[in-house]
Amino acid sequence: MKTLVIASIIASVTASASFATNWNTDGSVNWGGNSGGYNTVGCKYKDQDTGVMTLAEDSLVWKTTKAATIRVRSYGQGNIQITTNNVLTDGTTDYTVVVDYTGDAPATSSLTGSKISSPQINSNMISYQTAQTGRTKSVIKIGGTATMTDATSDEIKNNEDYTITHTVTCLQ
Amino acid sequence: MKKLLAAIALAMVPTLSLAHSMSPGFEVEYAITPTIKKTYTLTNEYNECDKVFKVEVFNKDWTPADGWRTKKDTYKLKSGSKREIEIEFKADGVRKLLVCTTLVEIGKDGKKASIISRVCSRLIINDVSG
Repeated sequence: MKTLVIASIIASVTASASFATNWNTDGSVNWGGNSGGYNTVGCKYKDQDTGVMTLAEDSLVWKTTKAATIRVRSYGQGNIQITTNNVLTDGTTDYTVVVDYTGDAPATSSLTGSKISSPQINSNMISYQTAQTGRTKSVIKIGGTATMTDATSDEIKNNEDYTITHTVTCLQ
Repeated sequence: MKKLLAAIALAMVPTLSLAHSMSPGFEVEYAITPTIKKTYTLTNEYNECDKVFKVEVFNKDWTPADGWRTKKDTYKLKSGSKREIEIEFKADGVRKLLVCTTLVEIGKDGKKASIISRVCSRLIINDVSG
C-alpha cells in the first residue's frame, strides 16, 4: 500500500512538471554554468624584464636608461605597491642609496592598465588600487634615479655589476 | 666617460615566470579565546626551481607585529607545490594585521632572490572573549 502511495505521488509530480507550462512563442533556451573558483584571488606576475641603470663618471646619481618592467594580473580588490630597500649591492657589500622613482632619468616610471585606480608614482613608492570586480591587468615600468653618498661613491669599483632590488607587494 | 652598467633586479628570472599566491585574502575574525589560529595556503607558482618563502606579520602601518607565532619562519617549496601554514595570533582588542609571505631564496643553493614578490593578506581580529 505504501509503495502504491509513493508511486502515485511520483506520477502526479511528473505529470505536473510535464504539463505545467503552456505552449508559447518564446523559442530561446539557455546554457547554465557556474564559474566556481576560476580566478585565484590575489596576484600573478609575468614578463619581468631587466632594467638598466648607468653611472656617469664622478656622478653620485645612477640613472635608468631602460626601465625595469613587470606585468601584474590580480583578481579582487587590493593594492599593488613597488618599493625598495634603498640598497645598492655588488653581491658582497651593501651600500645605502636613495631611490627616487620620479627622478630625472632617460627611462621613467609609468603605470598602465584600463582598470587600475588611484595610480601613484611617488619618490619612494609606485602603487595603484585594483578593481573590485573581475581581473585587473597592468604594466608597471620602474625607472628613476638612485643617489649615493660621497662615502659610497668612494667605494665604487670599475666594471663591477651593481644591483638595486625592488619588491612587488600584492595586498589582498 | 666611463659607464658602469647594472641590472635593476626585477628580471634575473626568465620571462613568463609566475609568482606565488596565498589564500585566503582579506578576512575578519572574531576571537572568543585569548588566541586564534589561522591557516594560510602558500603556493609556489614559479615555473622553475625551488623557492624559499618567509612568513612575516605586520601591523597596518607596516611595522613588524608582535603577538603571533608559527612553527617555522621560512618554507621551501618546489615549483607548483603548496604548503599549509598555521599561524597563531594573540587576540587583544581590535588587531589590524598584514600577513605576508615573501620570496627570499631561489634554488637548492640558497641564492638570494633578485626579484622579490610579496603577497599579503589583510586580517582583522576582533577580541570578543570579554
